[in-house]
Order: sequence, then C-alpha cells, then structure tokens
Amino acid sequence: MSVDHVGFVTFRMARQWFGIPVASVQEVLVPQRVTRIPLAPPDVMGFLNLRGQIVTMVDLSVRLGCMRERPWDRLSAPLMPPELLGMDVVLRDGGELFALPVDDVGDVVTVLSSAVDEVPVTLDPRWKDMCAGIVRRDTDVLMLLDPERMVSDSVMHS
Amino acid sequence: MDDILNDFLTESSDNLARLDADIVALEHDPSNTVLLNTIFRTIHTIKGTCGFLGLVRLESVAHSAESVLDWLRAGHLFASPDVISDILRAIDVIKEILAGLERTSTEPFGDDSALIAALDAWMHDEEPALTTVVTAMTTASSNPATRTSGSDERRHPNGDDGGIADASLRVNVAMLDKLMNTVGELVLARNQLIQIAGHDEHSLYHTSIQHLSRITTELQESVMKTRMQPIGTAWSKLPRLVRDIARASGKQITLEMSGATTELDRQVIQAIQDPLTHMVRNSGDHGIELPEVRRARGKLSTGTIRLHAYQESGHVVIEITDDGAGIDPVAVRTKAVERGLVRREVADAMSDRDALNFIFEPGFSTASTVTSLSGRGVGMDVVRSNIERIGGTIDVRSTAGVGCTIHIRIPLTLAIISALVVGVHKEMFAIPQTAIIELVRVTSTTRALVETVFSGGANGQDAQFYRLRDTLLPLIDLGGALRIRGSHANAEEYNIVVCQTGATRFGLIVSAVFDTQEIVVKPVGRRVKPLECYAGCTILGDGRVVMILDPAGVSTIAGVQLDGAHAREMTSTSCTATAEPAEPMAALERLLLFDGGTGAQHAVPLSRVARLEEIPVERIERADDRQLVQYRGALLPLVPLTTDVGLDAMLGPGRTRPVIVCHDGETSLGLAVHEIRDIIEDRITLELASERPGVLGTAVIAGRATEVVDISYYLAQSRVVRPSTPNAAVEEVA
Repeated sequence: MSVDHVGFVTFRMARQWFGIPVASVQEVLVPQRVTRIPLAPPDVMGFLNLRGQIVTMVDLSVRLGCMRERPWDRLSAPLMPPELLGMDVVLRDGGELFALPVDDVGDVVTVLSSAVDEVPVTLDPRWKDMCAGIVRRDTDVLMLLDPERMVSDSVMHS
Repeated sequence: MDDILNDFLTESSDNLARLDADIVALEHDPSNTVLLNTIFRTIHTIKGTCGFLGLVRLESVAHSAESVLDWLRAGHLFASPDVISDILRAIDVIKEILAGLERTSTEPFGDDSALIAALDAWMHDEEPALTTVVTAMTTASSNPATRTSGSDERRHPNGDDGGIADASLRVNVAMLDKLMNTVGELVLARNQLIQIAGHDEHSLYHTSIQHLSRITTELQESVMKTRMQPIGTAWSKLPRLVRDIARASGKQITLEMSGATTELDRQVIQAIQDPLTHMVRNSGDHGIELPEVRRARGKLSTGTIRLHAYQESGHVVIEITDDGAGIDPVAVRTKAVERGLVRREVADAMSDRDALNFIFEPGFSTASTVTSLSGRGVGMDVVRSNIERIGGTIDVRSTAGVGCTIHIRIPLTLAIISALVVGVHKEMFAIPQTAIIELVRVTSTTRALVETVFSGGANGQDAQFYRLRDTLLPLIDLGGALRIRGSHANAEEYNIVVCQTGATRFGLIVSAVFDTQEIVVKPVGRRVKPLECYAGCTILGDGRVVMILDPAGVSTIAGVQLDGAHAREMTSTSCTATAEPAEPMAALERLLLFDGGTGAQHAVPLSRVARLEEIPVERIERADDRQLVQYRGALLPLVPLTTDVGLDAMLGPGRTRPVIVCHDGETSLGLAVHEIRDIIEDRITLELASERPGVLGTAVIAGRATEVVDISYYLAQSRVVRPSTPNAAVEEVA
C-alpha cells in the first residue's frame, strides 16, 4: 500500500469479516426490491433502483463459493422483515454502482499499510483473486478486498 | 493555456463543419459575397488564434488559404472548381492538424509546402497551376508564408455584416444527461405522490399536486428539447462528399436538401450519420449515371440527389432520392437466387418491391458480377442493422432507369421510447413498440390455431407455430427462452406479441399484456451488457426496475434463425406493388386490409385498431336488438361492416368471426368482418370520395380498389345507442 493508512468499511459474511476501502463505498442500504435478470451470470442477482439510478446486485458468496447466513434473495425484499435480510453495501466502480448483500456491516477501521500481510498462498484461488491482503486482529483476520475484482466479469465459478 | 486550447478546438471544429458546406455552395454561386465573407472570417479567426497559441504549421496553412480567399473577395480571382478544390484541401489539412492537437496537445508533424505553394500560385497568375510546377516551386521557396505577407495590407477583417449577439451557451453533454436522469427521478416521485394522494378531489394537496404534475411534465419536455439538434448537423458533410464524388467520376450531381431544421435527439443524429453518408455515396457512385449516358436516356445531364426530412407521428422520416439508373429488380432476383438467399420459384412470385429489399441481405454485399448492380448493395446490410438498432426501419423503392428512393423512419429520441409492458409468469418486461406488429390473444377456442412440430429443436423444445391468417408465424415461448420457471403451454389463455425485426416475423408468447408506456431507457451495467436479449432497462412508476427486451436478440437466443427469404415467402402472398408514384403523396401508413363481407377489399389505418380478435360464433349474443360479446370482463358491441348480411348468416356454427376492436375514449366497438387479410405499409390517396356513411372513399391499395372505412363513424353510431346499464343485458341473455 502506498498510502500510510487507509480506512476500510468492514462487513461480515457468515463468520468471515471483510474490508473494502472507504473511498469506493457509496453507502449502506437496507434491502430493496430487486428485479431478477434472466440469463444473467450466476453472481448477478439483479437490478435495484437507488433514487433513479440502476444498481447491479452482485452476490459475493457465489463468487467466493461461501455461504451467507441470510441467503434469501432480494426478490421478496419488501415482504420480509429487514433484519432477516442483512444489509447491502453499495460500492462504486468504473462509474457504475454495485450492491453487495452482506450479513452484517461493522465499523470503519483504519489500517496502517505496515499491518497488511500478503495473502497466504494456500488460500482458495477464488479468494486469492479478490483479496488485496489480510490484516491480523485481536481475535480474527480481516480480508481486504479489491473492489474492482469483486464485481468484474471474469468470475471463477465453482 | 489548456483551457484556451480546448476552447479554440471546440470553436474551430464547429466552424469547420459549416465551412465545407459553405465552400461547396460558393462554387455554385461564386459571386455571393456574404458567403465569401463568412468563409474568410472563419479562416481568419483560426489563423489569428493559432498565431497567439504558437501553432506555426496551422498558421501557415490558414494564412495561405486566407490569402487566396482575400483575392477572391477582392475580385482578382474567380472561384473556379480548381481554386475551390485547393481551398478544400487546405481545410482538410487544417482539420487534420486540429485532430492531432486534440489527441496530443501538440501540432502533428507534416509537410505542407506543396499545398501552400499551390495556394500561393493562385495569386500569381489566373491560370491553374500544374502539379508538377507546384512541386518544383516548393524547393525554390523554403518559407512560403513570408513570401505572401504582402497580401496582409489588403485584409479587412471587419467586413462583418452579421454580428448577432450570441444567445446560446455551451453545456457539457454529461451535464444534460445528468439533468435528464434527475428529471426522470422527479417524474417517479410525482407519480408516487399521485398514487398516495389518490383521486380525492377534496384533499388539501389536490391542487398543489396537480400543479406539481404539470410543471414536472413541462420540465421533462424542456430537458428533452435541450438534447435535440437539427438533422442538418448530420448533413453538413454531404455537399462536400457529393462534390468530391462528382469531380472524381466526371459526373454532374446536384444535392438538394430540405427539412434540415427537423430536430432529433443528438444520440440519434450520431447513430444515423454513417448510414446516411453511405447511402448518399451509393447514390452518387452507383445511382447517378455519367452525363452522356443520362443524355442518351433522355434525362438532364445533371443528376439530382435529394434529401428530405420531416416529422411524422413521433418519428422522423428521411428520404434519399436519386434520379439515377435505379436498381433492376430482375437482376436483384437473379443475384438473390445465385446467392442462395431464395428459391427461384419464390423469387419469381415475389413483387418487385419485395425483391428489392434483398439488397439489405448480408449475403448480397459481396456482389461483383452483375455490373448494373455492383456496389449497390455494398454495406447496405450494415446500414440496415444500424438503423434497426435505434428502432428505425428502412425501405427501398426503385424503378429501373428512373431512380431510387430510400425511405428511413427513425424515432425522435432514444432516451424515451414507447414500450409495451408484458408479464411472463411473475416477471415483467418491456418490449419496444417499434418492433411490435400486432397482438394476438389465444383463448381455449383459438388454441387450435397453434400448431406444434415435434422437433425437439433448440432448447429441447418443440417448434410451435401460429396460423395467423394466411401465414405460419413461428412462436417463441418467452418464459422458456429466458428460462423463467413456469409454463404457458397448458394455460387457458395467453397472448402472442407479433414482432418484426428486419424481414423476420415471429410471435413471443407472454402470459399477460399490461399497457403501453413512455419509458425512460437506462443502460444496463457492464455485467449485463453482453446479454443480447436486452436493449436496456427502465424504472416504472412504482419504482420497480424492468428489463427492456430486444426482440432481435431474443429470437437469436431462442434459435429462431429464419432467414429473411423464408419469412417473406410466408408473408408475401397478398402484397403486390403498385407502379411507383412519381411525386410525394400522402404519408406512408400501416394499413389493415380486410374483407368486410362483400368480397371487396377494405382498409383502416392500423393506428385506429386496438386489437384483432377471432370470436367464436357461439359467443356472439343478442341483447337490446344488437349483437354483443363478453370481452375482457365487459360487453363489446359488435357491428357488422356490411349491413345487408346478418352476422350469424355469414358463418356456420363452430367457426370464428374475425373482429376488429377499436377504442375511442370510453367507447369500444367490435367491427365484425369476413376475413382479415394483411397488414401493409402504404399511402392512402383517395381516388373517389364516398357518399355512403362509414366509408371515406376508395383508394388503390396493394394493387386493388379498396374502400377506406371511417372508424369514427362506427364509434359515433355505437355511442348513440349505447345502453346505460350493460350488465342488465348480460343477465337477460345468460
């Protein structure tokens, strides 16, 4: 990392915490109604309307091959109590908006560049593809993600 | 510094675009001093600014061109075609340098000494300099710019006669797009507000909401208008193009343009620029004959290419007409058969007008053998696909030896389109109205018209067809093609949306048809863009996102690979071309042709028709001395078109009765006819006015005398006797 310290928005999927740079996060949403897109790639869950802008919803759990605690899709969003659905992190990449459904959103943490470790070589290739580094914390490890590679179309499917 | 350079570049490119056309105009009217002054001023401004910016190469070229123009102004020189050619060459170099500046912010390297010498030569003698002489002179003078500096004294930069204060602003297009987006949001918010407030006229908010609503609509229209440009901007390069073609080929061609102020969305203008250029080039290169050939054929030696644009019901029509050799339909047929596009028998049975459309087929573009044709079809398939991509249509008509007209119809804007919202199981989709020909409702009684070929074809599905009048319409189950769970196949009732893309016609099976809406097209993101079945997406009034289908893409993924010839083979039975009218007449319209019962051909404009139905004779009921049918939860009065024949007498039991359903505000009406024949595009020119009520007159349509039916008359009739309590009538007959 070239900058001394960077802020990361943290979020959780199942038991793992992840971080993405604050600069690429636009906002955090309560779940919205999502329109499914037939024939779209498996990780593209659909489109949602964020104040007149089209947001592509991308399911990270499909890309990472992991589970979400709240795997309900957002098609039924208005019908379910929001606490069952988790949250959506909206990030901006290449002039487009993407929403990522996550189980929980945590604090914004500041990470010193010296504290970032290399991604372990033994990590699942799908994870390695997306991870920019890891940070050891008191009780767990925070996976830092590269926003561009989180939403790009070169997906490695399970 | 960068800002100054940028301003200079934008200003110059605007001016130069106009310059080409101005100079060609000057060639035709060499004594036009106003024109000459305008051209001089433009070049002078460019020269002045580049001196300031230190652009040496640009300055020397502009300087020489300016000097020649000054001689023209002073009357020392006559604006002969050769002088004009040299000035045009200078402008080309200026454009090239400007383009280089835009890319790299520095002047591109190049040697202009030959050009400058050629320009300067005009001021030494009145005779055109030979190229060889020019090259010889360049070596003699290493710095031509200084050599002609003497002409500076004669320059009068203040010979202005314009000087109108500039009342316009330059606004970034991205800004306009953002504004458009924001207004779209405002419209949604307004719609939601109206829904919440309901229709309670006593509500405190009622007046305010109405006011807000009106302002919103006005704002939306104004923002749309800011994106409009006159179509003339897409034409500005054409005079130069035609002139160059004429000079290169030794032809005499005039270009006439009318309707240049017709306005279109800038996005549309960009999209048609290349196809237009291509077609005009085709007309000049291959359409217009050499002067001696024209004289031998008894035509004026100067050929004419005419561009005409006008607005027609939410569309812009552009016609490109030339009075050249035309396209020989016989040669086109032969070529099409050779290329394997169509079978010989079919080609021979085809009308000339249909046959001509083969020039738009991809296989046709590699033409090389038939001389009268060669090149005529080159790239026309690309032209058609470009026009169709923006929801337009293209059609060619030609009479061999007399000329050729290409008729293009394009939407005013791409940002807002009219679309039909349909339901497929629980999902909603929008289909652009431009691709839709008609809607057919399949009920338990008309299910028999759906035929299945158990082929186990693409996607493991059997091929389905619908017997639509005389044709077999291939069907695509939209749910199956998009792999949405559920099935219509066994459902009691469903709808078929009949679509046409290019020459291919097919039906999309959908579960429900909602309404037609004006929708704002939004681009899909990069993850969805590769899917060819979508043309974009939109946000409906309730805030939900709906995908816009691209019917052409849907047919591709569904594996309906009908070649154009096959589709035409099935649909062309009743369409015969009439002699090509020499003069422009009534507007081209979609017409529904049918037999009203007397055997005569009848027509109504398709725009007046809401739907077409096949009603089983058993369902026709009688109440209050009129015929009715229970239709979509209401009662639809049926009126037989020919009063002398009773409805039931015309058909036996177990048969269906074709009905044309029309609406007019509150009133609905079913016009019972004998047979629906076809939908064609033609002009209505009434030859004979009619005395009979309900008939506007008689016209020749598709080669037959046709009675044009006055739908308004029947609707008015129906209104007069409309029963006040229709439900009572139902109980009576039930």
